[in-house]
Amino acid sequence: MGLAVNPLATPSVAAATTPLLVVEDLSIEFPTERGVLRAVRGISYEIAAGRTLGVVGESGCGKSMTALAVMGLVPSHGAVGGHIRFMGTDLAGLGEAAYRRLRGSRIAMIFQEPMTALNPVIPVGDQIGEVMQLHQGLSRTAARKEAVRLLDDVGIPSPAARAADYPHQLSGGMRQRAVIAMALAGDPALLIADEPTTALDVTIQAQILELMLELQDRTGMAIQFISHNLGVVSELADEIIVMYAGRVVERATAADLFATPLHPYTRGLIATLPDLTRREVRLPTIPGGVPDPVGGMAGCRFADRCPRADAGCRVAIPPLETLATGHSVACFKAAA
Amino acid sequence: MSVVALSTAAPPPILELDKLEISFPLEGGRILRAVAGVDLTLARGETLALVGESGCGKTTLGRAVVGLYPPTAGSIRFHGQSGGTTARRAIQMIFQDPYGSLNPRLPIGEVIAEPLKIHRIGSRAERRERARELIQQVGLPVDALNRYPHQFSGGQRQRIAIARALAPEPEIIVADEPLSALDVSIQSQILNLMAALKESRGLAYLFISHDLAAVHHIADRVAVMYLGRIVELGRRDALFARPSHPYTQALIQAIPRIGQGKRRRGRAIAGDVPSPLAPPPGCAFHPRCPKAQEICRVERPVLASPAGRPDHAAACHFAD
Amino acid sequence: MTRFIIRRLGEALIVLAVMSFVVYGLINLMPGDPLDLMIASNPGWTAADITKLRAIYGLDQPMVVRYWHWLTAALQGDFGYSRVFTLPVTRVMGPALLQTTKLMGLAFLCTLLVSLGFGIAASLKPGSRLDRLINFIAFAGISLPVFWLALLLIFVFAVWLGWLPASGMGTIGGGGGFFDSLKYLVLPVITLSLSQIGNLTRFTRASMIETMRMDYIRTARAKGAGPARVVWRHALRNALIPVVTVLALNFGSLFSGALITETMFGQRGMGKMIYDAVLGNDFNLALIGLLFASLLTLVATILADIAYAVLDPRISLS
Repeated sequence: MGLAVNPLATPSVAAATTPLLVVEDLSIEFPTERGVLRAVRGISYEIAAGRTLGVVGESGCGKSMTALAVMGLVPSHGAVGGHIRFMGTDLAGLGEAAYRRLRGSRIAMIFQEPMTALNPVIPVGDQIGEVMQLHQGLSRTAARKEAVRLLDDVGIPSPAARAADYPHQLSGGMRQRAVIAMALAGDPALLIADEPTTALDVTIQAQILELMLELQDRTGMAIQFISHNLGVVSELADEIIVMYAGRVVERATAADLFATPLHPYTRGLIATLPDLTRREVRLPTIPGGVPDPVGGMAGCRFADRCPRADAGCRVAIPPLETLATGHSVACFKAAA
Repeated sequence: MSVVALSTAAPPPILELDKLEISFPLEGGRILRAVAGVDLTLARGETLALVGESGCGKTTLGRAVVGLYPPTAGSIRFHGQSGGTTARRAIQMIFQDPYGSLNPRLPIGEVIAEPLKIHRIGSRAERRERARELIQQVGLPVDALNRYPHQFSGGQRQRIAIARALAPEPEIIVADEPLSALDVSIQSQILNLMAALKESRGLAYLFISHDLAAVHHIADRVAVMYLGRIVELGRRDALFARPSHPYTQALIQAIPRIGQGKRRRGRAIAGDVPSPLAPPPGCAFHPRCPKAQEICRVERPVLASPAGRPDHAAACHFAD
Repeated sequence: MTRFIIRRLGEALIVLAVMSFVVYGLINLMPGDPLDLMIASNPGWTAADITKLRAIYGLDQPMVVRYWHWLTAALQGDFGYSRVFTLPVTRVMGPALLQTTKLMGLAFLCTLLVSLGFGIAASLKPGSRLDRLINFIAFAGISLPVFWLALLLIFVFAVWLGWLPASGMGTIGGGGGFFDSLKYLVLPVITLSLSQIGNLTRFTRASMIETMRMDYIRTARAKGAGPARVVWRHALRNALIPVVTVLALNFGSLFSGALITETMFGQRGMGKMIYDAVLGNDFNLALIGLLFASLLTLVATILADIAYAVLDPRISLS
């Protein structure tokens, strides 16, 4: 694309009425020795500006790979199909240079391990400031000053001193706050957070969750929050999609999903969580394990573990259907 | 001696920790007091959960019970005796990382039989037979015995680790975060397995975890640790329904809940866990405590029963 | 940091002192005697003459006493007289040291630049044709014996093509100047470097590949950093940490290991000097030469530790 002006810097009128992020029939495959590994098998979802989408699933469901696809960071040997539209623009058509202008500025991503997400030999303030050097053309000193302000925004005490520290001198919670500050530095319209609190202590996790809600109120950014922890997702998300083995199996508002979960996997997940208000002798479980992502399987990939599966489930893949309430589920046997 | 164990109806303890301290010397003459004075008992068939966040010392405590660290001060007595080989056999451990805790070069049959070999229990044939029994008891097929760890998933490996821990017929199993590396849908399977084994064999568990929800399911009593000391100790239902120590209250508040809408702000307590190298004076929790007063900065509270709760103990000047 | 340096230098001095005694003892154990040469060229001397001569040179005294004499003199700056070259030790060592420094210095620089360049280039696309080519060159360098390589280079460039001189340090008759002496250094420097380049390239490549897999590289990309910035600003410094350590340790051995190269190319450097001195039972020269080599290795180790601490803020020297 030879445009001098970044088409994403000034949102068009159309973007104001369409959702911020539209993912349509996304698929991601990798060639391996054993065959084609299908990490993501055709998923679709949307995020509106200022809203939070929770993406729930366990290992191997493709939730992290989906996020990487939005960022354009899928490893080069992977094949990405389908469409990703951000603020009206199809990201597949973007050249690498244009994509880089997006990353870290309009779309930012934070990852699971704060310990290793930061470069150990560069002071924290410079790593945050780098975002502004890259995208706003600030000088290093000016960027460092802004970084201190951001560290303050995310609730780090003595921000000027911490900005000069190296990552190993900060605690886990502070490191994750610094990572969040780094993500916010570019004033993103969309923040993708991949299991940002999983490696943190539970009291620190609570702090970080509250911080993210507060920051969202202030900046109006949208959040795509990925986690295997249903509780965390429940406390943050407006809408939730549940992923299993590369597909979306259920999609609903947070309230609807927990009030009336329809897909057997979702019901199973909710049921297996020990509940602090009830006392059970035996926890319900989902037997078996997640299927091998290499190779296909006829029919629904949850069938082998599903208490309701019948012969029909093993023949055809259930499509994601939307009910009148706006609640979507991909199951032939979904509860009414 | 622990306040809670004095109730006359309680069975006699098989494990007693008396003023236990475990410290590690560091460079520059500093000392890391991982466990700074713990009194605890464990009765036959009881599940005691040890709960806390990073730096609280629960992992160090668990390892000391198994015999991996010698006490710097105080004692660990099993059936009234310190040290000795019976304890080494009768107290076994399950670790957090199912990928690292199994030797990748040994086939599963040998992994499970290894404790028997080490303690010289049974002949080779008897050990093989025992491995067969155990692998089935943890829900895996017999042909797994000839395969290698890398061929199994995390949840299956944890089952193998459990089978290994069961081999020498222990009385106590120390489980150090056995669920945290596993997928959510697998965690409940392992929890159920552990509960079932406890019933069938009268096993006692020292269940170390930061996951309060899992603890709620399996524990009889719960001990909450903070910076090397126990700050609350009580029966499971009482602790969760009416936590007495502000730290326990904060922990329970912090657990994310399902189906209650977005998180209400202001529930989380502020601040980070202080470094065990420089614990705050007085009550170690006072810098983060919403109830802190002058006395908390000066005098460290001891573990004592709050008013009207004889079966419970908290280390707080203002315990509920 | 200063305390660290002082402490390590102190330790180095102690090591040197012990080494001096050990080396002195070892040379002393060797058969033969500094007087052998003189005796051989003066067949008319009688046994009485030889005994008198020994007494004059102090060679009849026990080794420990002789060592002590040497030590006290050396500490005052008097390093003695080289019997082989019939010159004070300092006058012999001076030019040799200079020549070796030129050779080592250039070889080190050459090794550094080429290895880093090759290593980084190979690591950016592992498995590519460039990577395979670089790996091949590296293995060649590791596998080729130095003397064979030297001969080959001499044959190709000096004899066959006639571009470069076969040996020596400067045009005979003098008057060559700086650039002339550089011409004589080209082949020896290449020979010395090639063997080192092999190892260091592979090491750099491995370290870079490992570093590029780290989470913070993914973070840098997620911030919008381009590939150049990711490599130079984020990856390189981390990847260099283990490489610099190896480099600094290699430096010490570069010094004494150049004997073959110096001999093949007629360079009168430290390696050749020490060799000649030991064979000639030249106590003073051999001792000082060997001690100097040890000192260099010790200093290189200290520099390695410092470099490590400077590059990696997680390491503190206390």
